[in-house]
Amino acid sequence: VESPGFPSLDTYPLSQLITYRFFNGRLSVFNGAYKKAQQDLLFAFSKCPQTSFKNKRLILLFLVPMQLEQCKFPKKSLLEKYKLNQFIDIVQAIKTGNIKQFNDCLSTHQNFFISKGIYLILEKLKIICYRNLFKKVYLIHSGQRIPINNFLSALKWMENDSIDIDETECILSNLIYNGYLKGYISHKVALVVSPTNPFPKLPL
Amino acid sequence: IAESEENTKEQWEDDWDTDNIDDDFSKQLRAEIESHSSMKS
Repeated sequence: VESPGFPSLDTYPLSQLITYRFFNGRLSVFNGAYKKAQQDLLFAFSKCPQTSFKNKRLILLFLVPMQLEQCKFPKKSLLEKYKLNQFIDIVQAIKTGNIKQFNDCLSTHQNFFISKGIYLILEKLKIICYRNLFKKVYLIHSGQRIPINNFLSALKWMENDSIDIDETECILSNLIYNGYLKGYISHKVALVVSPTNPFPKLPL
Repeated sequence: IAESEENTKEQWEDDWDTDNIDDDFSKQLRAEIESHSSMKS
């Protein structure tokens, strides 16, 4: 539809354009083109009239995970207004780095999220949750060499007691690999972080 | 249109990433880390 053979998109009535971009956005969600999905859904949501509450809620259901992916967090009032309370605690959990709360929310609302097809997307946000938790561990220690044990204690407290040092280093390496954390691991001893801005500002 | 743009700012926050560690969660986290490191030393 967006190829040159078709009339340009803004010649269509707004209501059709909103519908088009909503479904286009959902298709992008499905294809993993999150940035594009976010733009289409945000357009649909902001242009959709206040009177169609049901439609706005439906758009938001897919827009929220996309925005979270870009580290833009919905305000609690927005989620309450559209009765998407399932998201409230999960947003809070990611922000504070509370892995325990994150896991609990995901399992409590598992069926709801799966039925809407967004469970797997939300699950991927866990890495941001780890990033925020570890950033706090770093801030508390206030130094460039942070003992691996500090991260281990944090994980044991948040997830379960059986987590060992290898698993901790695995999560740290994943964060480094994905660019959430700048530094290197001195095996079984410490995490040495970059002197400047070890936790780059999100979204990357 | 301007109104909806304005709404967008009110609905989403992107300045949540702070260096603030005064909240209850951070305090508990600190206590947790300190209790473990003191046991080892």
